[in-house]
Amino acid sequence: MNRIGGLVALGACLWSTDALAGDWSSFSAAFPLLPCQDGWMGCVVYDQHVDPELRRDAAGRAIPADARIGWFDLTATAAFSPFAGLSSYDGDSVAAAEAPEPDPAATPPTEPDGGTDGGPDDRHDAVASVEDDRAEQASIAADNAAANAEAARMARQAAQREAEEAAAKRKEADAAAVKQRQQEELARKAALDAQKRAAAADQAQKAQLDREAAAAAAKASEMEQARQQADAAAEAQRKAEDAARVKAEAEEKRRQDAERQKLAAEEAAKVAAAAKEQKAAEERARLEALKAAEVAAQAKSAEEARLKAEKAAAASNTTTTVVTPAVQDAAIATAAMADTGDCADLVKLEPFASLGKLEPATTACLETRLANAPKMTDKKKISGILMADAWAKGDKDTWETLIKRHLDEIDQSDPDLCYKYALHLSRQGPGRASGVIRWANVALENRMVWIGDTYTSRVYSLYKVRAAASQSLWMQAEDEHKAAPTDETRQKVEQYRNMTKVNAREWYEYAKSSGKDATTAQQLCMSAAGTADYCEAG
Amino acid sequence: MTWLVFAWSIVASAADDEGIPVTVRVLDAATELPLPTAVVRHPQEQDRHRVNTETGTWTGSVLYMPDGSELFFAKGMPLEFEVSAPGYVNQSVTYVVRRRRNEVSVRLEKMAIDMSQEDPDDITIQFGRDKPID
Repeated sequence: MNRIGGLVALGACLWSTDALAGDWSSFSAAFPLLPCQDGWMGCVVYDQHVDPELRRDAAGRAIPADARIGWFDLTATAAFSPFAGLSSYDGDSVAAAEAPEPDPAATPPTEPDGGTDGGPDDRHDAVASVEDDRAEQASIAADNAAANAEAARMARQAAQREAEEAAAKRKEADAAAVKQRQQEELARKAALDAQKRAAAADQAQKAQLDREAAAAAAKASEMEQARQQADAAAEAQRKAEDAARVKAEAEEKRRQDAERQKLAAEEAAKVAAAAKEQKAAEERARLEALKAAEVAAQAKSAEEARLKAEKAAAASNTTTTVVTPAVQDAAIATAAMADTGDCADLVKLEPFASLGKLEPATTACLETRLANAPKMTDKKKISGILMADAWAKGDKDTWETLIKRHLDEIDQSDPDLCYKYALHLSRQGPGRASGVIRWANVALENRMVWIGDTYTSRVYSLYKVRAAASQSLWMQAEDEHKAAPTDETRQKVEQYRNMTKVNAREWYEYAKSSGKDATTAQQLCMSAAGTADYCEAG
Repeated sequence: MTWLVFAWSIVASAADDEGIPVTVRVLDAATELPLPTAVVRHPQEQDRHRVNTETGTWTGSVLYMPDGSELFFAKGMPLEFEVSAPGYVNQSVTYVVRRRRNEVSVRLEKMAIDMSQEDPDDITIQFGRDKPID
């Protein structure tokens, strides 16, 4: 009994040891060889090291390293990663070499004592040994079979575990794939939502921008309208101001025209009065001439009567003659006047006129003849004689009257006359400057009558005298403006300054082209223009 | 005192921005009297500046060019003026602007146009002829 109990206890111990401890393969579930989700033995998840050793959950309880959630509290562990897939192993897989199984049939049985002799004891011994051998072999075989069965069972268990692990891993992989697909689906949906939201936001922004653009356009149009209105108002204001200015200018012009007309009327009245006076003087001269002619006729008849009386007295030998001093003087005067009162032959009168020896009767006769001459050529000749006589006598006033009448009423084609008259006027002061300019221009229009040096010198002189007259007008206007500056005086100053500038430049250009002295002309031009550029241009 | 200095600095800075004034005085070279009808002009400027009729002076600190730009007178700037008057010879002067007391006196010579060679007595008027006298 004790032996049996001992065997049972030993067997129980052996069984319990096998049941409790067995070998390390029983704890393979607690110590997974590849705990990491990517299939590796070790890894770092966040800051936690994952390896085949036991891990601790939040409460400190031991759990396997490959447990994804805690056994007791179902909380996620470091190995819980639905996104990590299995990492690829690129190393060469090496198959573990299996140790060859010893062949039980090839193992010779071991002899207990070492040699046999073939007797009955030997046969008994042989039988016993054979039976012992058989029992031993059977035991060995049984052991081997048990070992093989155990190995097979272990292999089955290992295979089952591996299959379970593979299934679990497949399941996990499937779950991971499913989860990943779900995640991807979620991500796609999120992207779609984001896209929709972005589209909505773009539309909203676009709508906002459109609204802002519309508001800005409306504001711009309002501002444009306001600007147009302001421009229209300014335009209307400007037009009103222009109209007012035009009206004021027209008013001023009317006033100036009225003033000019008044002055012209006064001037015309003066001229008419002067003409009337001159006509009266001519009439008086004509009457005197007639009276003188009558007196001459009376004297002539008296002389004839005297001669007759003398003849009669001579015939009767009487020497009585009655001669009064007045009649005698009148006779002498008449004789003299008879010699000069005939103005029919103009050629004969020319030398007298050149010397200034024409008598008043002759002059009166010429005036009468001039007034009655039907041809302009006759008028021209008669006027020439009268002018020559007046100039030779030194009677510049009469000469001026005669030449003015000649140029205004008879003929302007003689540049010598115009030139002489312009020179004469230039010596009369600034008041005659307008006449100087006028008759200098007329002379220049007919300058082609001259030739050679006469042409050069007289044209140069005409330009000079005209420029000098312009300058005198300018200086006079400056003095008037200085004394009483007004817009009118300022305009007059500018007008005469421009006239001086133009005339001086023409003088300067002709002086340069004709080889005459151009210094004074240049100075005058620069003085009027204010700069040398105008005078030297062109 | 402080506000005086402040006001003077403002005036000085404003004056710098507006240009340094330059005075041109135009005189008759013979009589040394001011020419009341004189005109001062810059060669590049269109305007003609009349002098004061009493003093014969013109004072300016800026010129307005035809293109609309402004020429402020600054220290060290060379200025060219053309001074003219009716009856006087034109004169161009160049003046370098100083910091202050910029006064230029320009004397103009009288212009004499000699008309002595033009005598109306020298012109003989010919009597007109229908037929020339042999």
